[in-house]
Amino acid sequence: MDLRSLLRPASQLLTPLRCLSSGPRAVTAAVSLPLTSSRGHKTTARTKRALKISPHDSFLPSRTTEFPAADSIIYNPPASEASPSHTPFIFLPRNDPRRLAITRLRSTANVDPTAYNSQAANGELPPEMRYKRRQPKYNLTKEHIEEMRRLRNEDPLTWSVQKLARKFECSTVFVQMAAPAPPEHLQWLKGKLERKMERWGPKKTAAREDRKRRAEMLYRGEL
Amino acid sequence: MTVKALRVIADGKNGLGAFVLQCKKLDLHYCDWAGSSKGMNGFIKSLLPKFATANPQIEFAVSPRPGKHPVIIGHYINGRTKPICVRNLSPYEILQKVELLRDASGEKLRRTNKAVLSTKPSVRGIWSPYHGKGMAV
Amino acid sequence: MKRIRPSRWSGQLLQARCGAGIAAARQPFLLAARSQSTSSAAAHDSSTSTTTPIDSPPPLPAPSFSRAAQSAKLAALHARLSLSKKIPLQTLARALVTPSADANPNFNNTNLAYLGSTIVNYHVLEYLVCKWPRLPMAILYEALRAYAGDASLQQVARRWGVESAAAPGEEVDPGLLQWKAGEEQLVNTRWGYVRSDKAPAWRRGLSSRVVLDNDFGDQVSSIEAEKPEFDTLQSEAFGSVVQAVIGAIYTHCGREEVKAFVKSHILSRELDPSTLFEFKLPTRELAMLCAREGFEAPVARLESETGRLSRTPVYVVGIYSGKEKLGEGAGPSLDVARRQASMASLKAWYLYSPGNKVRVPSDMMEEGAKPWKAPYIDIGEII
Repeated sequence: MDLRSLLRPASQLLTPLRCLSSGPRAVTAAVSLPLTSSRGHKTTARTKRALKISPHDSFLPSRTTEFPAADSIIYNPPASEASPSHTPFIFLPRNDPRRLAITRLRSTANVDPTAYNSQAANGELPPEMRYKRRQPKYNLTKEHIEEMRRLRNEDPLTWSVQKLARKFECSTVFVQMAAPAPPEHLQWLKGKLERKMERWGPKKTAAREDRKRRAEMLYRGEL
Repeated sequence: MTVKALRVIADGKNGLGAFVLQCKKLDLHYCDWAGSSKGMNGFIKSLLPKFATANPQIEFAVSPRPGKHPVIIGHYINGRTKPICVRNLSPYEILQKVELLRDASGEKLRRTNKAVLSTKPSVRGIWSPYHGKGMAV
Repeated sequence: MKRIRPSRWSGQLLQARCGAGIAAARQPFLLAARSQSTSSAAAHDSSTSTTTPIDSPPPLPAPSFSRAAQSAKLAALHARLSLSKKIPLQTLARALVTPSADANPNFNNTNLAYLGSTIVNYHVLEYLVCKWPRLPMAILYEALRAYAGDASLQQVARRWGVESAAAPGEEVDPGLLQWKAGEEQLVNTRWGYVRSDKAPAWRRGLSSRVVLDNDFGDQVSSIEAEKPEFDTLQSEAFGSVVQAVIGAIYTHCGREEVKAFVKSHILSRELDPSTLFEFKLPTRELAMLCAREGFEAPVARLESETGRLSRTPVYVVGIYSGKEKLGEGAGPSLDVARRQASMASLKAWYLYSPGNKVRVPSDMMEEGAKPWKAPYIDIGEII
């Protein structure tokens, strides 16, 4: 910016000199062509050079084989979310031609060409998420379950579902199925929850309803 | 088990399987007396029978409207109409107008700046910054 | 306004509507005698006297078939659908008479519509089953309804330019749909297996719907519990026109022509089956699928994320079974993204298709068809 503001008055000074030196033919040309344009050829070239990037590796033919010797297919999956319309490999039936083709492709190439990114091609998988999931242990016997039922019936308040699950090292769902609480206790729990929900203000109620509606929309594929 | 089905209706695409001409009826109004209907009368006498034979998909209704300029009204399957006043036109000019009405879809005229409009999602997907192998610049 | 009368036109115009000429000689569906034959036909015949006898019979509920050849609308509809000349205009006129206008099954479209509905449902169903062999039954029924249900067929009829008359009657143009709402159903137009009334407490499971109920898995009741709504009746009436036209093509032209017609008018409609799904417990369903198929249990893995501490984070989660990726989804929270990914994986399973050009069993009926190769058949739903 500073340089240009300096150059412009300098060129204006130069113009009449150029007009004087050349004949009257050159006057019009000199007026229409100022010495400094807003962008000189030097910067254009520099910009062009800066924007010139060699193509991404995935666009180039495979270098694993001798170049002109073998034809190679450029497999360059787009940077986009995997679509369910592309059936995953293990979901393909046994005699599907796509399955055979992928198997052949994987056996010939040393890195998996169908892998989604470079880490997956090397066999590295992204980190596992931590979430509640079913991990069956099958550690309980009949006596355990009877004990569980006895405890639950004796004092459902102390021996809550959580507590029993921790004690017997099983899931809460299993406790609920194997040792359901007496109906009066369930009734009491229900009433307790209702009393709690009555105390909710309008904001909390609306937020809960919205959350429920969002979940429904998610399952319908509208979100 | 847990999958439930939503109710949708398949979308019709005219011309994808069968093509149904969108112009279903042409009303031709003329006047026996007025000079502006001269060309229209000539068209009805000389060119209309041939045109109607060539286009059996269209229902033609010819009716007089004394003391008015001649008009052709196209009725379309989408429920819209397209009237064209053909006063003082020669029969061949009217034929051009009739062909225009026959070939129209009945939709409002819209500017199209894309040669192809696709209803299918992109095969390659929408570019996402969270996917792909990335590139060092 | 005066309508053009083709009978008074020049020879060229009559040539264009030559289907009418053949039709008059054939009269295939109209073998039954009807009391209309003398007086009403004479009333429309311009050659005979215009005076009608004083003790004239009551007016017909729908236009007489003898006027079909004179209807410009009917001839235009015939040409618009590019129907074969073998199909007379009278049959097309009959396809436009619904049982709500004329209850006599010899003159309305009930029989043709039933024939047509079986043909449409057969062709659509065989296409769906061969194209997406893993669709669950509930989705399959809805996909069938999306193509061949009344709402879809009503759209087809309207895109053909079928209009309904203000009220059915003898004097109405036979090219208009003869239909009225709010009448008591005298003719049965609903077909299917009626469930026994003795055990109303039984659950109406999906597998029972395969055998019982109608083609779309809807319950057919022997007693009409409540009056159907106007929209339902209207779509039924318009849908019956399409079905009756297809039935007419089958009776006059045969199997090949009707298949081509169904393919071009009904199967050419666009439906994305992935929009039909509504999941309830996608993560559990996917785990059960993997257990049933003998795959490793599905594991959610975080592929990429951004803005975890911001107001609008994005997480991309992939579901993996062993080293194979089943599907992925993105969402504003880890849980939502995981559920999205599970739904994508389930859709990937259900929407498996052997290819875009699948062969269907009815292809074998063509002459010189290649030997049949069994299509992929799925073992069934995840229970």
